[in-house]
Amino acid sequence: MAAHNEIKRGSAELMVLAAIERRARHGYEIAKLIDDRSGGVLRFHIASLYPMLYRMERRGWIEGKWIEKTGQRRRRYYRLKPEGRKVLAHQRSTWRELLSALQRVAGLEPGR
Amino acid sequence: MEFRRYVREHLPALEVLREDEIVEELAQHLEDVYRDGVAAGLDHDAAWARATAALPNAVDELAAALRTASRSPAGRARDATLVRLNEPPRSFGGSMITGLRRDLRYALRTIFREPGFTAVVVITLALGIGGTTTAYSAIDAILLRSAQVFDPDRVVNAYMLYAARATANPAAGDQVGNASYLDYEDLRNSNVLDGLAAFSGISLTLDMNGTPERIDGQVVTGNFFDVLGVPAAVGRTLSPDDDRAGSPVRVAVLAYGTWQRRFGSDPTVVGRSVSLNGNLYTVIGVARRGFGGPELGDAAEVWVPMALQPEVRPPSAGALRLRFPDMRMLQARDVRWLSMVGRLRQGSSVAQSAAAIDVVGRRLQNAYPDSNRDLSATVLPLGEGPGLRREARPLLRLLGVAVLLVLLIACANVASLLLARAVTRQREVAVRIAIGAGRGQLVGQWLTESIVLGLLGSVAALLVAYLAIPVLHGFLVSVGVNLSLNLRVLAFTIAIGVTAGLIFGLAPVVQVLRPEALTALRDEGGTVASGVRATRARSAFVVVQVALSLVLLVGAGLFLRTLQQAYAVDLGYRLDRMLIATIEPGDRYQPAAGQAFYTEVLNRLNALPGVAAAGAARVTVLSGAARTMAVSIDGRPVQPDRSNVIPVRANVVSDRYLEAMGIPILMGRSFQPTDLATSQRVVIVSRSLASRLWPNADPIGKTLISSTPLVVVGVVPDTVYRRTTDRQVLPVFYLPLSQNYEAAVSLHIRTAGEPMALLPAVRRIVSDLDPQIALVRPRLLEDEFSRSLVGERAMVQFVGGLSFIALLLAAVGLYGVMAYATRQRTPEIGVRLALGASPKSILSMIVLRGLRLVVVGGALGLAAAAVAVRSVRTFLFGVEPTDPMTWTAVIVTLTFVALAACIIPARRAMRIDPVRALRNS
Repeated sequence: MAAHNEIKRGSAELMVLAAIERRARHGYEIAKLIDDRSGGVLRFHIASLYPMLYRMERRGWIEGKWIEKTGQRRRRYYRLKPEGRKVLAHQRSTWRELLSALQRVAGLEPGR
Repeated sequence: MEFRRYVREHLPALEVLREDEIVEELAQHLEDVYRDGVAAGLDHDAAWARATAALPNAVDELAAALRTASRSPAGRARDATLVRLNEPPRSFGGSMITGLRRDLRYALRTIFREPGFTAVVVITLALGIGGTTTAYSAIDAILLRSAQVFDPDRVVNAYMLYAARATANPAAGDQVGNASYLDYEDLRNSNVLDGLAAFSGISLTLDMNGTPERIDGQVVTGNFFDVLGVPAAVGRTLSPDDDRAGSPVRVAVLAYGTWQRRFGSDPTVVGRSVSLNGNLYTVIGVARRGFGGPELGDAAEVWVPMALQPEVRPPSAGALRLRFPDMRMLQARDVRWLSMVGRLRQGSSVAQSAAAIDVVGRRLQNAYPDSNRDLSATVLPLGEGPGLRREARPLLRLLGVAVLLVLLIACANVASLLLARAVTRQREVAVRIAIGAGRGQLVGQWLTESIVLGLLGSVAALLVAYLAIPVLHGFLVSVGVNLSLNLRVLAFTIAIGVTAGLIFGLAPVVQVLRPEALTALRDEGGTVASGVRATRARSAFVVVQVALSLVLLVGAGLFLRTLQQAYAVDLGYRLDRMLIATIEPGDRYQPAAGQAFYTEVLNRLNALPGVAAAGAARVTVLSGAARTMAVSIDGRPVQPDRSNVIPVRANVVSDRYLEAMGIPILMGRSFQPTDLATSQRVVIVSRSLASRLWPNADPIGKTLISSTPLVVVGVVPDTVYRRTTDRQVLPVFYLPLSQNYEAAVSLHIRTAGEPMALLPAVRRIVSDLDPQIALVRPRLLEDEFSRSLVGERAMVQFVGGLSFIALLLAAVGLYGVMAYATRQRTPEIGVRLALGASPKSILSMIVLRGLRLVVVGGALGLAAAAVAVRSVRTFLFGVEPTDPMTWTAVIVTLTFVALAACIIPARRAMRIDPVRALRNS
């Protein structure tokens, strides 16, 4: 997995922001979502997830709130703030450019 | 709940206010992992193991990351101080240092990956910073370094103060001068200062192993070392007990360097005997390391008590020796040969002490109207009186400005280069930011890189300075001034390197990190837009560089012309094939015997084959020495208030001196052997003096009134006395040696062939007559002439060198910008060529564009130079600051260099293959 680490590091924020784009989630939920959607390739550990969440929270991209749902213990849910939406859009477009360029250069059609 | 305890047990304290919440969140995460494990069919232990495995082994790093992430630095600091428990302090900053190490590694990698680029930058910086370092080392040595005395700010020089009208040159205002021993004693006893010592430089013959050698020393009053607060490194220094008049003790204190060099740092040197001037002295101690005397440039090797004056510093002028057959000058109030140094009283300022000592001086004036007429006293801060510091200050200021200009030019070049490179890195920057690199991180990396470049430049600059400092020494000849690179200069150089690195490092950082740069990936226009902005900035740099170079060039040109003019002056005598050597019969000869000695030496010299003519003179022209006397202009004796005198340069010469020097007799005769001590006292005057004193009359036979009446027997043309560039050109008169005995004279021997070839013969003649008399400093007159212009030559070398560097750097900068712009516009040029434009029109288009920059820069430079040259007027000779030849030459040079810098890229543009250019766009 060492080869993936570089990419993971660069795209981590994008993945986390995208994970809470539609609705607020808590930390474990986010990690699970990414793990499932990527088919186990991209996995988030505690050590990288929570520092990143706190950092993004400090930057004003996301907002974390303790919410107690009926029947459950209270959990910290993170939702996307307007600033975060902007960043998400920007990072998405940048990655699209990069990927299409890589495609052209390195021949990345799936299945090759 | 169990997980919370588990997390707390395993995670180090976070010391943030939110710690509980974070712990709870982490615990929930672990619990979720556990539950999922159970839901997937694992038993309790397996699921627990999986959950706890989620917490990483490196809990310290996790804790650090959590800390950093959850609070801003200010908040973290607040939390840490608020929540501080009995935890042992952790080593913070670990993350900061690793960041710096990483930046350094990256910077070094980049630097070594592009050796050509790095080399250009480092060389440019070396030239710019090197000049600054060289100038600073001189400024440090002369203006900043304090004397090696205790609390130098409280030490002052004391002087006798001559009212302007009493000086040889009233127009120059009040003059400070030396004191006599009796005046010194009165000033000391007045207690205006907390201790006043007197001293004078002397030359002694040290005889260590049978080979006598002249060394420099100082004769000092007993309280000298106490007043200055200079301790002994070995043994003790002089005390007032060693300096008792009437029972002089032959003791001596050695300088530290002398003790090392001549005595091999012998720890038992105290008590040893040394032979000075033929007498045995006991060494009582060695002065502290680095002390050579109170004045800048003093390099005394030995100090002896004042009571021994008769044997170490006998009077030199013949008249005085007649007055004091026992050589004791200490009893005469009107023999002024001592310098004085003292310490301010507690709470007293220099101004207050000067006023108080002036009162004492006037009291002496009233008490001794004959010897102290028009004299008072004053004090000045140590080193501020006449001396190297005062002379060198204007020059050093000039040099300081000049090197600063070169440094600016060099920095502009480097900034320009970095800017150009930053533009090419734009894409890389955008991608890195997009995938998560922090902006601060990038800035830190780049600044680290430019600071490393600055430091490399500093190191290279030290090498440049090492080579350049000997050039400075040519001007600041004093051996006691140590210009070498000491720690302060080193620190200064490093500081300049780092500062320069920051300054020119900011330019590309500011440029590239603008928001528009981040859209570079989106469209091609992004890169071009910031490329254009970069070019504009670089063009501005070039304009500034051209302007600054022009200022330096004008300066260099003016100094060159000054040197030219200095060489062009008609000296009035011939320089070639003139051998000069000093002989000092000194105190062993009474005047009559001395005269006989001189006569015999000169007769034998004139009889030597190969000698055209030989004479002797007290003052050697062009050597910096001068004797000035007052001459009455109205026929009356010299008035007490000196209202009827003009200052005149004097020389005491033998009868064949004028012939040897090639100075023709215009009227009357030269000195003859018949001008004896007992006959009428005669004088030969220069033409300007004759016409000043007796316009329209025959001066021969007239009486000239100086200290004594003198009858004019001859007139000679005006000659250069001290330096061709002397501002104050005074008339000259000559007195015959036969009527004015001097204890030391310089032989002037005009030879038919190579002068130095006759040196052994001359030596033999002198030693045949008296083996104890040595030829001191044999030299050639033409070398004295060169030496007299060493200052002017050094100015040309230094400013000329600087302006050459400046022009080179500016040309390189101009070339860089033009080459880059041409490259950028290759598609456009290709189109033009394809559409039928002639290559020549392309050439002229590019060249004109470049010249436009030069014209703007040149105009600015000319304006700046016009203002600046006004301040160098004092350094010029024979040229006005507006000298048209200089300015024209500078403009032509600049145009030529600029054309060359533009033509190279322009020619390349001319040869662009339009097809290829269009294909590549």
